Amino acid sequence: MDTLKFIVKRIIYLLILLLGVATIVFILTRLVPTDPVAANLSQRNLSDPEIVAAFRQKWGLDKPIWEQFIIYLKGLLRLDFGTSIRTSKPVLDELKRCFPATFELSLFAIIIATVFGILFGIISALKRNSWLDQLVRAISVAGVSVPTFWLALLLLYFFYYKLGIAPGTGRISKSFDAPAAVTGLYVIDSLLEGDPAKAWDCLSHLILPGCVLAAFTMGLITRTARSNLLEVISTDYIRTARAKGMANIRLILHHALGNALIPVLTVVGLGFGNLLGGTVLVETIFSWPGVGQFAYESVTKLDSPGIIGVAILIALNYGIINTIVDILYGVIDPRVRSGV
Amino acid sequence: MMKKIKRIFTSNLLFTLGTLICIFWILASILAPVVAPYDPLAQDLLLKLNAPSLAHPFGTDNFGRDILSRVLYGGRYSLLAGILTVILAGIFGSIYGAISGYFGGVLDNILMRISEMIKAFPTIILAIVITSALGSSLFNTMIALVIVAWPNYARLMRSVVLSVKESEYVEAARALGTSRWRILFFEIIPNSVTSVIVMATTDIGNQILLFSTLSFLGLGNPPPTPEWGMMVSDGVSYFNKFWMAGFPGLAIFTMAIGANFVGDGLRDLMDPKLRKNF
Repeated sequence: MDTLKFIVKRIIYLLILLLGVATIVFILTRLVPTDPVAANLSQRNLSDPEIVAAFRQKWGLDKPIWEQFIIYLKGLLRLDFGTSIRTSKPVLDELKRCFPATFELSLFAIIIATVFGILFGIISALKRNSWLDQLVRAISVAGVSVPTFWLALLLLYFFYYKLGIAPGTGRISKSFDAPAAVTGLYVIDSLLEGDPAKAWDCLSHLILPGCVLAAFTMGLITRTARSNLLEVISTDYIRTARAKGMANIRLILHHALGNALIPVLTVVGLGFGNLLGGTVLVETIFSWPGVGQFAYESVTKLDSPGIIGVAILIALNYGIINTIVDILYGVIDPRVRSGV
Repeated sequence: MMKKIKRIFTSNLLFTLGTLICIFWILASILAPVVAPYDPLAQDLLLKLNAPSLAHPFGTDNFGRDILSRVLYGGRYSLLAGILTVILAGIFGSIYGAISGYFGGVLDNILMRISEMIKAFPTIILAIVITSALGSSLFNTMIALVIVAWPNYARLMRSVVLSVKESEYVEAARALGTSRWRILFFEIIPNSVTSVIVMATTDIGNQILLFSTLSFLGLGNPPPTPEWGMMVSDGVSYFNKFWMAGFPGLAIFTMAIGANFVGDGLRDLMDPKLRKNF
């Protein structure tokens, strides 16, 4: 019963959050001094007042601002984000098209970040203050300090241009056709088609952008894992286990890690939410046809339905991931469940 | 005191390294007019896209400008943006969070929901939308960064104030009939500010990165200002001339990493639980 109440409360809260986000984005996109008409019509069409008026009427730009807001909110309730001014297609369809690409990339990145982050955290905590610890800490700080766009260019320059061992930009090589959409994730769809060569090609396209996207979150996870492990290691029950002569590695894996991982889970959850935002740069540089690239193009073209659609999608993601993390918290840590 | 400082620097290699990097960039920004070998804006099309050489250690860009000089001058904008953003966001967020935590109730609920709405946005997208709404300039970019950054300070300050307001000296002040605002600004905020300062130092690196990201996307100062992010973005079209994007990017990276090393070191130093391991 309590769990149900908790979930209902979270959903109501999520809806309020989305309404707030929608309002903020609406206000912001209307504050933009540049005229969307000028950004989207060609020079020749701009000089024709009839075309300009038709354009304004078509997109509701001629109505008073509160009326535009009401129309916009009504649309949102029907999951209608309007039509992208830039591509003239429904924003929902555009997002549906883009989302699997971004989801595949983010999923790959969060797996890399989590596996290496926790591994580095363990090494660092086990060998505290050794040169290995200092090295791992330096790597994790480097991960959160490196400008994403620069790392992306650097990796492309070395692994694609200089060494030629990584594929270039995009999701799949030109020699392959895109796999038939089942899940929308190219690697899995290629495997479902029974074409391992194609799956490998898609996977290799994921590696560079995935690593760039993972760098920041991996740094965060390493730091959180390390400091939590150190805290847990200094507790009495670990000292007892150590006094009994238990080997260090076993001690960490069987006793310390479980407890130390709870805060790491939050970082992973938040990191996954943030990755979707981080994709703006990575997707733009790697020509990855996902939500990030769509967001960047919408912003530069002042395509307000597009911007609003992306913002709501990402806020929704963020909210859902946070709710899942909260529920998982209860599953892992009985103290949270009983409210102690 | 001197001995203690010496011990701190010798025991934490990364903190020392970070301090040295920060001192280097602060000096470079202040002394840029003296140490830069060329005018950062002077164009010489005969010299365009030259590889690094003795005359131009970092090479030249597509207008024949000296990249080393531009990198040295560029530090000014990044440092200024990073530090000012943190100060403004820290002050606004702290006061907001303190009011929310101290008065509690419905006000707390509303204030915190507002800050969460801003936090639910991905940082980069919110900053891009705000900057494009305000128009791109150094000042507007910084305003966008402040709007994005303050909720973190508000949350932290609120949680600290929640515990501080229960302490006995606050009780005593209340018993003496001190007004609520006076208690908030003269008793509670000064006693809660340490953790905000620690967070602010670790945040400077983030803000420098975000600033350069916006500048990379063309949302900083207009050209020909030597801003690091913009210089990297200029280098994208000359992909095989690695020095154009390489050196300005390296500058952002080193400055951010230096700020992070120092921030981490300070956090360890201020946290009594970790102090003995320092």
